[in-house]
Amino acid sequence: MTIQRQYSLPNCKFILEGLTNDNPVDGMNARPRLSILTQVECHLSSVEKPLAGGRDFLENLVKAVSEYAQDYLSGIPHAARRDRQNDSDPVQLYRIDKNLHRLSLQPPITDDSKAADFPPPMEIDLTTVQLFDLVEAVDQLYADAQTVPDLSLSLKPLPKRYVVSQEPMTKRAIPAALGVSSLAVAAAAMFFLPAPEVRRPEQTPDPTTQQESPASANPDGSPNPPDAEAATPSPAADPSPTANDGATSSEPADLDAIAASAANISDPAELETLTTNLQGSLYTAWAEKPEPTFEQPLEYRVGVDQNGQIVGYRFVNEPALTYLNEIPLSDVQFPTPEAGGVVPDSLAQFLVVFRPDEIIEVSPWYGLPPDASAPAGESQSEPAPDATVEPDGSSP
Amino acid sequence: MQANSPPAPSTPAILSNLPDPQVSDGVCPRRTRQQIDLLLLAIEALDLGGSEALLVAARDLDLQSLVKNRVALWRLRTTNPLRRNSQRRPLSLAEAKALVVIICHLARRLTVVIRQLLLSYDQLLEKQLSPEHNLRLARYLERFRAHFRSRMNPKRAAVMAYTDEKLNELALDLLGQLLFCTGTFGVQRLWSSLFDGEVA
Repeated sequence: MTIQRQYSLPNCKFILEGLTNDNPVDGMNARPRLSILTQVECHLSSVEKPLAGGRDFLENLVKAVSEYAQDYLSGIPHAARRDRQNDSDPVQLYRIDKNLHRLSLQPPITDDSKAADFPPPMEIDLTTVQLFDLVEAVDQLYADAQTVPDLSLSLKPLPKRYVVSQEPMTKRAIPAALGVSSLAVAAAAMFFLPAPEVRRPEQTPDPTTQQESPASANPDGSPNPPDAEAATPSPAADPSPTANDGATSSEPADLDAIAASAANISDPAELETLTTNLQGSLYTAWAEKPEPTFEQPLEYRVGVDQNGQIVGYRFVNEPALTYLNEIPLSDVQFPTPEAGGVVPDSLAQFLVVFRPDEIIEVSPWYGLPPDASAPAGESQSEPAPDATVEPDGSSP
Repeated sequence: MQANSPPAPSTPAILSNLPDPQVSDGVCPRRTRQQIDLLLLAIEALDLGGSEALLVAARDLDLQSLVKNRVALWRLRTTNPLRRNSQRRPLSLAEAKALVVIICHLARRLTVVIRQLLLSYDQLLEKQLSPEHNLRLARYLERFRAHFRSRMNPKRAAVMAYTDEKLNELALDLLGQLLFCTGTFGVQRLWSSLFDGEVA
């Protein structure tokens, strides 16, 4: 007894005929399983004669239709994957226009036919709606577990390697070529710039302070030599425009100038002590300030004398300048030389990082063991600290 | 120790038959995010109550763990890189699945409208007339263009390349894709197609 199944849609109708493998006794249920297909007919509204065939025809048809549906949905051609799997599919679908799709069917070729006798493929044009009805009929067949159950939907996204880029190679190569050539041009131009000379800071007085107080600063007759070189707020390192006239100044003294005159502390044990003390005092001072609002770490180069007193600092990164008021360094009062403040004999420099999670990292600027003869240059690059002192077990 | 927070919501059952594709980082690539947003845009252009219908669909389909409210939906949609306020957050696979299910659910409800518009378009093409000649089709195209221009970032090169005519073409393409979403396996087909060319 043959079983007939139909899947009808406005533009497409599938009629399947076949036999069941079910045991006749318990196969008396309403819908036996059609496991052996004998004949399939596909009626399309745009052609009079239905497409007919057997199991092989059905398999090829549903596979091609399913793959093409994915092709249509994503807009990315699946042809490359198809071509790899089967050299010549008897059923093929391809796109002619935005709304027009061509179904091409190659009738089966028997062995004894010559090349010239190959019948031309049957071609049927479908609009998108007609195509959808065909796809839907196939999907309903796939979904029906009682009809040809071994045919089931298998969808796999197209791997990257099958995607052919839409843009021509020349256009894609333009940005890369542009980048390389501009780098070459820039490198050639930079080649001719002279390397900057390193100059130690001079011992002569700062000309700007001369203008402000011509009476007081008298370099020739001044009995106080340190006055000249520790000359105050060098404009380059000036964070704030106003200068206090009091005994202490809140502007950092020029670290370079101090470093030039003071001996660099390089004893590891002493550095260790100074590191710990500096960190401790910074934490205490920072705890009294309001919550930090910055989101990047603020880095400073801080100079500390042999007693642990901060004598100067410089900014190492951009946010450090912006958020200066949120960290305790801005509050430090520096003794100015005019008021008879003591210029330190020896100086230790540290890299201090204030992190947004309220942790302060302090490490010697020159690393351990430090190079005592290294000049305090203008470089803003970070040194690589060998030892970074972390707070003990404190985490916010 | 007592657990103080409620247990994490398990993935809704409706999403369980969508496989996870092998994409890098386990989040959705650019094209996927873009395509999902554009399909939702097309649905809104088809149906005047579109935006509200999206939220109602999320509720009906029990997907509120992924699409909580209007703001959450907006955040998911603005992962589309072409948007004006494009969010830098990733779109997770689960969130994308939820949106795909919503798209297909709404597309099914609009099956008749979609088919009618496409049939009208077929007829106009046969007579070699422009889509503007059909009132409903023209209204859909106009709404799509308006939504697109108001939401997408005009400074992006990809958006600037869309002239009115190209937007019409895009709208009609999306209409065709929505038709496929109404099918028996619409959800699975759409889901798989979103990752074409993106998997290893």
